[in-house]
Amino acid sequence: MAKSMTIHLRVWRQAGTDQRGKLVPYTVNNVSTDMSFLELLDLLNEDLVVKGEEPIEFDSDCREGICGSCGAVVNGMAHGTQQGSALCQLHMRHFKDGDTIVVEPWRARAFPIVRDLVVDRSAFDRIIAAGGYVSVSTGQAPDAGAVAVARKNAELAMDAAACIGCGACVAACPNASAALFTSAKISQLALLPQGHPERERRVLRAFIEDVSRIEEFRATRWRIVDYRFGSSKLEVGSQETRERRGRENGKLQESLARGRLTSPVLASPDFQLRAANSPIDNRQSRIDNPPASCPKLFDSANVLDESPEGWPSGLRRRS
Amino acid sequence: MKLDSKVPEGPLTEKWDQHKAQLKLVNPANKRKFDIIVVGTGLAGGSAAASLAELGYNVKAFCIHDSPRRAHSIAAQGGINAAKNYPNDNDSIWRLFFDTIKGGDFRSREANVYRLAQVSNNIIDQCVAQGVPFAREYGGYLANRSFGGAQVSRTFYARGQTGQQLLLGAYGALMRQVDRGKVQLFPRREMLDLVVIDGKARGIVCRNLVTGAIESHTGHAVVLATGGYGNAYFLSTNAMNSNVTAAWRCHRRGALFANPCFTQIHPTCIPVSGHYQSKLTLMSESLRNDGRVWVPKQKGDNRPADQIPEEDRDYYLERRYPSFGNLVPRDVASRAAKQACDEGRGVGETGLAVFLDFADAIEREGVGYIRDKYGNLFDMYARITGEDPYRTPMRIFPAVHYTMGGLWVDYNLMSNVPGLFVLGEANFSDHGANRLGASALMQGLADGYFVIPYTMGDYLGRESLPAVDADAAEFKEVDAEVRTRLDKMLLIKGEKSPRQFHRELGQVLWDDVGMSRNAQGLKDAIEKIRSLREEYGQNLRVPGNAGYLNKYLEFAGRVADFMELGEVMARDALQREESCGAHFREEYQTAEGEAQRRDDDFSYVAAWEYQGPDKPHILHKEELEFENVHLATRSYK
Repeated sequence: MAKSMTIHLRVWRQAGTDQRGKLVPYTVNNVSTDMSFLELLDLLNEDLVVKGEEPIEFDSDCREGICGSCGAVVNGMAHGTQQGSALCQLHMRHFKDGDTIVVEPWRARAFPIVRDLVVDRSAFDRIIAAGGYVSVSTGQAPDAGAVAVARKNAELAMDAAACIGCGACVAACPNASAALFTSAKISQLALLPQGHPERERRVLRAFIEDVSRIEEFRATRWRIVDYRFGSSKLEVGSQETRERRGRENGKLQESLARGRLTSPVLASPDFQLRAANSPIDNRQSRIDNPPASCPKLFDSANVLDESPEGWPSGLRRRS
Repeated sequence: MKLDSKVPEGPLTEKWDQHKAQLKLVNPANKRKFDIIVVGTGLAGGSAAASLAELGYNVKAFCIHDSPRRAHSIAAQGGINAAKNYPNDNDSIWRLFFDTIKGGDFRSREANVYRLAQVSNNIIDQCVAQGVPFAREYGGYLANRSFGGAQVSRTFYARGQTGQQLLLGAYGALMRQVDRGKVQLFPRREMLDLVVIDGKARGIVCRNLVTGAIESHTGHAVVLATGGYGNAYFLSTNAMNSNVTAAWRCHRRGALFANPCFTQIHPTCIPVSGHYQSKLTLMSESLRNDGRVWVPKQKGDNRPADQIPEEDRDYYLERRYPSFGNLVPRDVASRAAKQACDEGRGVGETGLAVFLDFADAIEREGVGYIRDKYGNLFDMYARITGEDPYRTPMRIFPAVHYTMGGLWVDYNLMSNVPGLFVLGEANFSDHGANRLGASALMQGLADGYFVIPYTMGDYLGRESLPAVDADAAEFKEVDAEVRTRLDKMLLIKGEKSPRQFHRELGQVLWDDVGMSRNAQGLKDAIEKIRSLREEYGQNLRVPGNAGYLNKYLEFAGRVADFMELGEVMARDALQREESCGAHFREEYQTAEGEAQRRDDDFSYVAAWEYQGPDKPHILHKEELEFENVHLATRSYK
């Protein structure tokens, strides 16, 4: 039976990319335990609109956890505390009457804030444009049954392909890296014979410049990517191979010279400009904002079952 | 107005090939001189934009989301049909054609549906080549499963995420062309009007949703692939941003809207839990393979399910349809659930739900079997409702899911406005009065990959299309109209938010233009919608202004269009004095309460013409001719 609660919120409000933002407190009454988290925001917004205030902007579309539109850092965790689901699938029965919940946008230089909780994730599109596909034009395909694919590989490819492109992995990574997103697409296509002819080019274009940050990343997510998606099979497995390729490509040195990680697609002048103007210093905020696992790709044991107490210092449990 | 379907002459099986042989071509050097606007980047729009760019046209692709990959095609679960006959179960192009036209209750064009079945196999080839990870057998070959409305296994699937995987394939193809510079991508843009010059579609006016800027874009042709209008009902399985605005704007510029009353209600969705509800979630129809649907025999019996003994339960589908039982088609199952709830026998807090019970299957096959087969669906159900469906029966209720109606198109997928092509769910062409499962993905990709690349060339090769400028008077005029409309909504400063209006509209449509309809209810609905529109003009409140990201302003414009559409849906349902497919008129049913089609009088496509904001629409009819199939009555008893 649904119960009614009062929930206190502290929500990040920011009028535009180049504006300063702040956490604004709200109280919402008559919150049903059956409501989804986004419906709580709907309820608050209806109230704000009738009162003549501006509603909180947030992205959402399918509300079934598949489109990847929605997402916010809830009590310091990307998509909140529930494992394996997007924010739209988090329901209020996981909170208690009188709880205070802190809601922030994805915080990453790669994702400039558009307004309130809405961020610009076009960096993901640029990564896919750099090689997240098999180059086959309409009409070129042979019969679908012509090539057999081991069932195990098809299933592993499907695991990787299940990524919903929400950006939570970037928001959760201490370095705000897109390595998890990128490697999921690379793994999917490398596991299938259709993706083989281009696998090297794909990795070089979409991913390799990330190697300048690989040591940093290794400490966090790389091991999991490596293990789950067998990326050694992708010929990007060893540090040496990656560095050699990068050097050959002439891009690694350039990245190192710049002194920080930049993927070619994340480094467009347009994006850099906006990132420079972003009021949130991503690197600083990350310290208090520990990584959670990707909600869709991994059922990591590293995530707390409940909201951490005393935000924002709550840290996830490291196994 | 004479509606020319342009269906080619000749035997059904040869029409498409003969037609292709007649179509004009554009040589490669000339293709790059043409700009094509594609609005929408779901399965139909994404595949069209990619395929047209591969051919060499310059494509401008617009989407309402932050990325093309978010389009609602992504939420399709079950699968995609094709006549591959890999299981050797005697499937064929003919059978796929026949099942689809019969499933649509004989209200679609033979030639279009046959072509759909013909190209279905190419779609699977294309998607596999793109790296779509379809389910496979241990031998490494593609797996198939069966779906409603067919006696063969012809559905290809990628777990319960087929739509996602097909869309990511089309999205990859699209982004490849972005990388090549052949597609210019315009995300977070909402098309707000069509620009017609010398009677031909030559561009669009859209709003940049981030900056609020009103932009004009020119092209030699416009391809609309903006999905269906199920969100008119407010609560549906559609995504929050799914809307009719782009299509409706084209309609107001002269494009006919066909069969608006054909809206599909899916029987197995998670029921509404409260007034705050923003959308409904579908539970795959495959659950009805093992679940038994029931309600208590007595009204107002609110004992928990496990305390209601067998003799007090009514397994109404098994009782009424003994040969199909729980596996009757979607429209039949939906109506039966509504009847049970109308009789006061619904379950749950709201009384608007029926049980879908797996207890027998669990006892027969074991929990492990059920978990393997439906585990992800059971998890989704548990997450949303907080109940454990392994222990207590699921509660389900029908919800609006898909719209068969849409903008009228000819065999070339061109609307009656030259140069305006309409693909996917946005057009009306292939599903008649009811769509079969796993056919929406097939149609979207057929239109985008294998039809529009051929018919577009014919249009561009045939017509003389002088260059137009975004500064032309026609563009300026439309631009000004768009701005005026936005300003008007902001200036009302009333007391009700657009969502409140939308909710009220949805309730009217659900009550009177929903699962079953009657003349009085439909007339009432028209009146209620009119007074709602009047109130909207005086009491709407939109916060902020048009100069930045303002979702409530977007909603407000869409709700206005849904209200105009809602009235036409009711009028269309009123004039169609028969029951067919998803359209059930209470006056036209058999003694047993089954749908009664009236082929002699209503075997036509109803295409509505817009006359002006306060003038009634004009009805045009395209008679449907059936030369190859016999019009039979569906029976599931």
